[in-house]
Amino acid sequence: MKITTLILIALTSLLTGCGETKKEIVIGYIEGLSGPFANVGEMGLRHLELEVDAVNERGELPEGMRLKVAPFDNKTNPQEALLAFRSALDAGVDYVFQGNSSSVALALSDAIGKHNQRNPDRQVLFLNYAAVDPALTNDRCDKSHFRFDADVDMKISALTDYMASREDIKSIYLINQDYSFGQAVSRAARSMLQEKRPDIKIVGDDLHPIGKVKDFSPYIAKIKSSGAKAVLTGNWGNDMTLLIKSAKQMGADVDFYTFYAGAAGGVTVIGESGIDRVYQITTWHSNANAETKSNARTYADRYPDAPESLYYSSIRRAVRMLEKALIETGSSDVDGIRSSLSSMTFTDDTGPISIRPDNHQLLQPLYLSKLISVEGMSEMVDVERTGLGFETIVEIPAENTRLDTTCQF
Amino acid sequence: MEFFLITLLNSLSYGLLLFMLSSGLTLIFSMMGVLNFAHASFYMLGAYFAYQTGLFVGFWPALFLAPLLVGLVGAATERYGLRAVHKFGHVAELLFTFGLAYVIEEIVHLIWGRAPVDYRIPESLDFTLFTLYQTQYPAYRAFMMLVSVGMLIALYFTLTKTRIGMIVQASLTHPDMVQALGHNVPRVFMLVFAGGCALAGLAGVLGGNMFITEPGMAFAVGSIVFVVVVFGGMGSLIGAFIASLLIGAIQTFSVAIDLSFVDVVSALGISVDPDSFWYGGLSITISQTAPVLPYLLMVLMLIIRPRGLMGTRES
Repeated sequence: MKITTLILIALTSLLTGCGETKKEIVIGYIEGLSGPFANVGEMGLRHLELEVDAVNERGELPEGMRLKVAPFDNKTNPQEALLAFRSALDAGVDYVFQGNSSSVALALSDAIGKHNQRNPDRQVLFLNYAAVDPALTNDRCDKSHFRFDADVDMKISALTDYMASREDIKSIYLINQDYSFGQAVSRAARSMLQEKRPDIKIVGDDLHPIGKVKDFSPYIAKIKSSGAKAVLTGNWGNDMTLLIKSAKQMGADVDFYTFYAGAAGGVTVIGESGIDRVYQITTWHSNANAETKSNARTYADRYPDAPESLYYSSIRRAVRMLEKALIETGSSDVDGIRSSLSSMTFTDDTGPISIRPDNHQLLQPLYLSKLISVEGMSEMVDVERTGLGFETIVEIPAENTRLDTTCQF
Repeated sequence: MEFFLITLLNSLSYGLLLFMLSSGLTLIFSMMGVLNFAHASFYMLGAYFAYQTGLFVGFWPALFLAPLLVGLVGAATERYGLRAVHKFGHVAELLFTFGLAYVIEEIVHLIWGRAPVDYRIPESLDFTLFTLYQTQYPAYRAFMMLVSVGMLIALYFTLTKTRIGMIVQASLTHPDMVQALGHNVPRVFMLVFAGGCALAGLAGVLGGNMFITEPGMAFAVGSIVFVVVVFGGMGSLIGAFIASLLIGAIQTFSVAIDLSFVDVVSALGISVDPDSFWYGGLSITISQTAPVLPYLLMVLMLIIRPRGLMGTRES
C-alpha cells in the first residue's frame, strides 16, 4: 500500500513538475456547432484546421511539439459553453478558441479567469477570434483573454468616420441582435454619430431576438416606412443573410453598413442587388493586397466544396502568434506563452500588427470595403464564387484604431 | 398606409402558413386525442424532402412529391408506432411523439448536416408580383397564400362533402358505430394521421425556401403551432384558422410598435433615470417583446377560457 502510494506520488510529480514541455498541444474549439449558427461554427473550424495543419507542416515548433484541434459544441449558449469548457479541460486543452457570440465569450472569459486563479499549475488561455463586445477588453477584461478581432467601438469609430464624410447620408436605421453585442453596436453608433454628425437622424433602433427571427419582412417594412437610406447592422450568421434576403425581396432601396456581410453565405444571398450598396468593416478582406489575395486562393484550393471563402484573418493571426510564442519561449509553459503574447509584434499579410499589453487587444489595420462586381477582373478575388468581391474604400492604420481602455489586470 | 398594407399582406401569408401547420395537428388531435409533439418535425421533413427531390426533379414535381413522402412517413409512424403504443394509453402516445421529434432531428443531422441547406425559391417564382407604393411584393409569398387558401378549401370540401370526409367525421364522434357499420376505423385513423403530416410537409415545402431550411426549424415553429392549437381550441379547424391569422398579425405588427413603459410614463410627466436599476426592464419596447406575445396570449386564454376560442372540450 505504502509503496504504491509512493510510486503514485513519484509519477504525479513527474507528470506535473517536469511536464512543462508537452509533445501535443491541444486547442479547444468551443463553438456553436449545432443550432441556428452551426454554419458559422463549421466555417471557423475549417479556418482553424487550415492554420493548425500549416503550423504542423512547417514543423518549427520546439522539441517536436505538434498542435491538435479538439472541437466542442457550445450550442451558442453560455451555460452549454461552461459545460464544454469542463470537457475541454478533461481533454487536456491549453488554449480555448471561441468567437461567435459575445455573451458566450464573457461567460468563458470569467470561467477561464477563475479556473486560472484556482489552478496556478494548470493555466488556460482564451484566444478570442470574433467576440467583439468592448467589455471583454475593458471593464470585464482578464489577463488570460486575448482578442484578435477589433472590438465594436473600434469598428464603429472607423465606420462613423466614413459616414461623417458622406454628405449624402441624412438618416440611418440601426438594426441589431438583442444581446450584449448588438446592444453595444447600437450604443456606440448612436453616441459616435451624435458626436461626429449630429445632423444625421437615427430614424430607427431595433433590437430583435438573436437567432429566432426567420422572416425579417416586418422589419424591412418598418425600415422602408422610416425613409432611411442607410442601415447599420452588426448581425451575423443567418440573422445577417435573412435580413438582407428580405430586403432584397421587398426591393428596399437602402445601403447596408455591416460587420459581417462577407462571412458565411452573406454574399451568396445578397447577389447582384448588393453591388455598390453593401459595405463591411473588417480586419481583413481578400482584395486588400496581393498577399491577402493569395491567402484567399489558398483557402479556396483547400476547401473547394466549402460554401464560404476565407474570412477570419483573426484565426490565422491567433494561431501564427501562438506559434511564434511557442518558438520564442521554447516551451509549452502557458504562463510563459501569456507573457510572450502580451506585447507581441508580428507581421502578417496586412503588415505589422501588435498586441496591446494593457488590455490584450490586437492592433491591426481596419478596412472599410464595398461590394463590387469583379467579373472579368482577373487580379481581383471574388467571395463565395459569386463573381462579386470587396474593394477597399478606406484603410485605417493599426495605430489609429487604438482607443482608451478601462481594463486593469 | 404603405407600411400597414405591406405588413398586413406579410401577416396574412405567415398566418396562412401557420394554419397549414396547425390544421393537421388539430385534426389529428380531434380524431385520436393525441397531441403530436413531432408535428413540426414533419414540417421540417417536408422542407428537406423538397430540397432533396428538387435537386433531381426540380421544384414543381417536388411540391407534390415531398408532402406525399412525408405522408407516407406519417402513415408508417401511425401504423407501426402509435398503434403499438396505443394500448398503453395517451401518456405513452404523447411520450412516443415526443421522442420521435428528437429522433427525426438527429436523423436530419446525420443526413443533411447541422448547417442550413441551400434550398432556394425556384426561378420561375423569384420575381416581383406587384409594387405597392414603393415596396415590391415577392411572387413567392403570393404563391404561398394561394396554396394555403386552396388547401383550406380542398380540406373543407373533403371533410364536409365527400364520403370519405363523412366517415372521418363519424369516426370522430362515434368510432364504435362506424366500426360496426363495416368501416375500417384504424385505417381511417392512419389516413388522418398521414393526411395531417402531409399538410405539415406541404407547409415545410413552402416555408423552407421562403425562410430557411435547417435542423432547428422544427423547434422554431413547434411551440408556436401549439399556441395556435391551444388558443384556437383543441380540435377546432375554424378556431385554428382564426388563431393562425391572429397570431400571424400579432407577431408581424408588434414589431412596428416602438413604445416602451418608459415612454408611457414620460407621457404622463414622470421621467425615469437611464442609470436607474429599473431602466433596463422598463425601457423594453413592444417590438422587442414580439416573440413572447403569442405565449402571453395563450396563457391569458387558458386563464379566461381554458377550452380556447372555438373549442368544445372543457378539459
